[in-house]
Amino acid sequence: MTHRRKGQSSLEMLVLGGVAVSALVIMAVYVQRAYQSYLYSSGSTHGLQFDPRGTYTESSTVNVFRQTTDVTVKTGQPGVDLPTGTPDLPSTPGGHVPGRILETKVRAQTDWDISRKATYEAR
Amino acid sequence: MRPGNQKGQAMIEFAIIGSTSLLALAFLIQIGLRMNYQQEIEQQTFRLALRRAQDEGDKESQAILYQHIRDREIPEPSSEPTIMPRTSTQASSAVTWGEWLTFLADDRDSQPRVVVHVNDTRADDFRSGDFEGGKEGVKKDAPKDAPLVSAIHNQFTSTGQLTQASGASSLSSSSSASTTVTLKNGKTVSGSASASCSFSGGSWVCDGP
Repeated sequence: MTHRRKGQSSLEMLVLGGVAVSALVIMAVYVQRAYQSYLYSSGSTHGLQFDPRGTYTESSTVNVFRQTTDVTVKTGQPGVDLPTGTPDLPSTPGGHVPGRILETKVRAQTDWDISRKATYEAR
Repeated sequence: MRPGNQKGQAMIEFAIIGSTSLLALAFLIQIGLRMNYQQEIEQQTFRLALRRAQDEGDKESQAILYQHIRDREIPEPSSEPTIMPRTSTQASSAVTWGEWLTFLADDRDSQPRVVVHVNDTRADDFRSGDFEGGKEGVKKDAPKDAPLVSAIHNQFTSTGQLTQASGASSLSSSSSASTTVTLKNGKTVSGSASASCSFSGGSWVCDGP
């Protein structure tokens, strides 16, 4: 009995080891595919694959950019009085020229509409 | 020679200092343009007032108050290249050309002329008497020293497109300004300005102020 069982354990180990190695070899393909898929999806989160040799178009359009400002004049520099004539020349022209702006209250508003478009040809 | 953890240090320094320097230069250009345009309008307004006063007839006062507003394009470092931002500049000038010994009838022509110039529009039919208290649109007790302009409404609009492709790139941009000035007597003067710029095939084509 004992003599017949000689080598049985080694054979079992060999067969078991072979199965394990075969399983690893076969599964390696699927493991690699899974890992590549992970890399691809990670890379895709940064945008499409870009190759400057390929056909691509990127366009940035400002449809409208509008600034509106309303200025209310609060105070100004005093106007200029142009003297009328002397008693000898009473009809010499004269008048009051309104002053210029010194202090203002400003209300400003800005709105915009911007769109972007990108086209890539993946290879 | 160089420890491993110092690799790329010079590159990072260049990236930080270089971009900061460029930003500082861009702001310097912006401030320079702003000062330049302000000087330009102040001197231009005086010359326009001088010319207008000279052009007055013998039976007019030959005295001018010139109020001038121009909306100029001044790029901002923080805005997109496709936007052409505008800034309003203004100045006023009073010129008396008259020969004071000229006898004039005491009528509207003898009053100083008030010219309001907004971008491409010049309104020169106003006389100083139009802004006196009690005249049309002016309250009787309106302060005599109140400024000529009581309100300014600006609207600056810009559109543009930047396209980059494998063969070439192009840029087109346009801007317009529409400004309405309300005077002391309630009358309004409106003026506009527009400009466009495009880059294609390696050359720029621009027009407008």
